[in-house]
Amino acid sequence: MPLPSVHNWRKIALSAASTLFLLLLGLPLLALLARAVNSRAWEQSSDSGITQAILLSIVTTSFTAGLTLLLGTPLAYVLARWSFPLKRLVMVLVELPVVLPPAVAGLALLVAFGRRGLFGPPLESLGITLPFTTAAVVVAQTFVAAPFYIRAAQVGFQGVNMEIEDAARVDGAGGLTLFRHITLPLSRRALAAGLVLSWARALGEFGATILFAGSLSGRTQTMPLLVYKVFERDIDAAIWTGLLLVGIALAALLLSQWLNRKSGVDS
Amino acid sequence: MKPRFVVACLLIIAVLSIGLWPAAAQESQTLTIFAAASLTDAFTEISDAFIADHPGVEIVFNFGGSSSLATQLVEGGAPADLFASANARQMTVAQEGERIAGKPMTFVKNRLVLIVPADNPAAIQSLRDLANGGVKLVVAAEGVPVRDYTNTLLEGLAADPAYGEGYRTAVIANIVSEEENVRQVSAKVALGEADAGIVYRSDVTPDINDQVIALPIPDRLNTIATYPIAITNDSANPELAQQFIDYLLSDIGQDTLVEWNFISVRIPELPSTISLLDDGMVHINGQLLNPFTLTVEDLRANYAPQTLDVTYMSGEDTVSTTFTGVLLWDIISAAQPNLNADVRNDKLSTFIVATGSDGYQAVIAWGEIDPEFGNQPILVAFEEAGSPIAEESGGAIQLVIPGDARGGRYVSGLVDLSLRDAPPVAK
Repeated sequence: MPLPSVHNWRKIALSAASTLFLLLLGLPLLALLARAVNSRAWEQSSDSGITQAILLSIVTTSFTAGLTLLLGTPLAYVLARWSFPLKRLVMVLVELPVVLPPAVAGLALLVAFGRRGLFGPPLESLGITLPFTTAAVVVAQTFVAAPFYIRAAQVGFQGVNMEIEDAARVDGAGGLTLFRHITLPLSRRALAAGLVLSWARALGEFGATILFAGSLSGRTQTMPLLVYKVFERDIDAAIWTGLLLVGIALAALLLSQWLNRKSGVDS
Repeated sequence: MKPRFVVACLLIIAVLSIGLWPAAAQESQTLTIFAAASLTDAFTEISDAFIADHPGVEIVFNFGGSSSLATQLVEGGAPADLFASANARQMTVAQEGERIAGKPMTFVKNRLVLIVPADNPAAIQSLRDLANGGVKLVVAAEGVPVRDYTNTLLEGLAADPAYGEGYRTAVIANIVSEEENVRQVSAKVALGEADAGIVYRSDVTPDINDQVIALPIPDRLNTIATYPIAITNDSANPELAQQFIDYLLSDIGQDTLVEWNFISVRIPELPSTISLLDDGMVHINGQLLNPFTLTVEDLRANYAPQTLDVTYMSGEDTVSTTFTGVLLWDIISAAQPNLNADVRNDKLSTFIVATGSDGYQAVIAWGEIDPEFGNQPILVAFEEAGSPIAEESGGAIQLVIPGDARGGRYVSGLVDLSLRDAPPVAK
C-alpha cells in the first residue's frame, strides 16, 4: 500500500490537533456529568443553600439584563452611528471589562464605590451603601457583562443598511420613530444574541461579586459563589450546582447561536 | 516530510518532559507546605530562618483557608510535604482522605479577637455591641476553622446568662459576608467596608495595625485555637519535613510565633513552692494561659454566684449551713488551662492546689469539677448563711466542697489556687 499523500498527512495532523483540544474542553464537562450521575448529586440536602443561590442568580441577572439593555443600547447606538474624537478610546474602555481579571474588576469597584471608596461618601450621603448588598451584585455583574451586549448591539446597529434608514428619513421618520420602527427590528436578532451572551456572563460572574458584594446566602451568594463555598464541605452539592450552571450556559449559547444565524442578513 | 517529522518528535519530547518535570523538582530539597492563612507572616519568617540554617533547601508555601487546603489535598491530590491546619477538624478531613502519615502534632495555639476599622464606624466598644442593629459583621465561611471557633465562642456566650441566646441570634443576624479565609475577613475590616470582624489575635499584623483596632475578648469567654501539623504520606522529603516540625517546636520557632501574637505550646516550668502573698486577693496561677487575681468584688461582679446548702462533719460536730460562691470550674475555665492538645484527656491528669493564708493545703482533681466527669459544685465562697465570711476565720474567701462528708478540704482564708500537672511518665 502506498504511503498517504502529503494532503492526507495534513488532514490527519489537523484532525489530531483539533481532537486533542476538543478533549481538553469536553473531558472536564463529561467528568462533571459522570461524577454527578455516579453519586446521585441531585439528591441534595436542601439546606446547602442551592435554592437561595438559584433564586438570587435569577433575580440579579434579570436586573443586570434590564440595566444592560437600558444603559447599553444608547451607548451601542452612539458607537455605531456617531464618530467623535477619542472614539477608539471609548471602544477600548467598553471592551476592557471583558479582558480584565474579574478580581481586579471587583477591587476597582470596591475602591470606587466602597464605603471608603472614592465615591463612597457621596453615595452614603444619598443613603446608598453598596458593599454587601444585592445591589452590589447587580453592579458587579453589569460591569463585567454589559460589554458583551454593547459589542453585539453595536455590530447589530452597524449592520442595518444606512440606505433603509435614509429612505425612512426621506419619508419623514425622525429620531425615535426611526429607531423603534426601522433600526431596532432590523437589528433585533443581534441585540437578542448579545443580551443572551451578556446574561450568561453575568450568571457566571464570581471574582468581582465576591470582592465587591461579599458572600452571604440569600443576599449576595449567587450560584458561582455557592459552588466555591460549598465544594469544601459538600462536593456533591457543588457538582450539582456546577452542572446546573453548565446546562444553563449551554442553553444560552445555543440560543444565542440560533438567534445569530439570520442577523447577518438584511431582511 | 522531514521538518514535520522533526516537529512531531520535538512535540513528543516536550510533552514527555512536562510529565517528568515534577519528578525532577522533587529530587532537590524542596518542602511544599500547605498552611492556614493565619500562619502567613510567622511561617514566612520561620522558613527564612530555617533556610538560613539548612543551605540548599527551598520552601514553597500554599497559604489558604484550612478547609480549602484540606480539599485540595484530598479531592485534588495536590502534592505537599506538610499540612498545618488551624484546627483539628480539617486535619481529620485530610487524615480521612488518606493524605496524612502518622500522628499530627499541635505546634501552636491562638485566640480570637474582635477587630473594627480604625475609625470605628459602628462605635463598637465591646463584644456586647456586636448585637446592635445594623452592625456589618464579617466572619469566615462555615468550615473555615476561625468560623468554627467563632461559633464555639457564640455558643458559650449564648449559655452565659450575661449574654443569652438573644445575643447570639442578633450577632448572627448582623453577618453580612462569609469569607473564604481569615485574612479576607481582616482585609474587609481594614478596608473599612465591614464594621467588625472576628479573627485570630495573630492576624492583627503590623501592616494592618494602623487600620484596625483590636478589642480583646474576655479570656473567660474566649476560645483557644489549637493548630496541628503533620507530614503527608507521599512526601518526597519526610526527614526534612520532620526537621521543619522540630524547628517549629524549638525555642526559636515558638518565640517567633509568640512574636506574631500566637500562643506557644511550651508548658513552662512552674515554681516548686507556692508563695503566700498577703495582699487580700486569691491568686489563680499554675499551668494556665491567663493567670489572674480575685477579690470578693470580682467574684460578685464578674461571675454567676450560686448558693448551696452543705452539711459536713467538723471534729465530732455536724455543721449545716449555706454558702454563696462561684464554681471553681468557672474560675479555672476563665484562667484558660494550658493543656497538651496531643495527649488524650490531658486535663484529667491535672489538679488544683488550694492554699489557705496559714499554709493549709488541699487538692481538687480536675475530674471532680469537670461537667463531663464528676461535675461537683465545688465553690469558691465569699458568703456564709447570707453574710460575708468573717476575716477572723483566716480570710474572706473559702473553698466549699458540698460532696465531702468531713470539712477537711474547706480551706479557709483561700489565697492561692494553682493548677498543676501529674508527674509525667518516664521515657
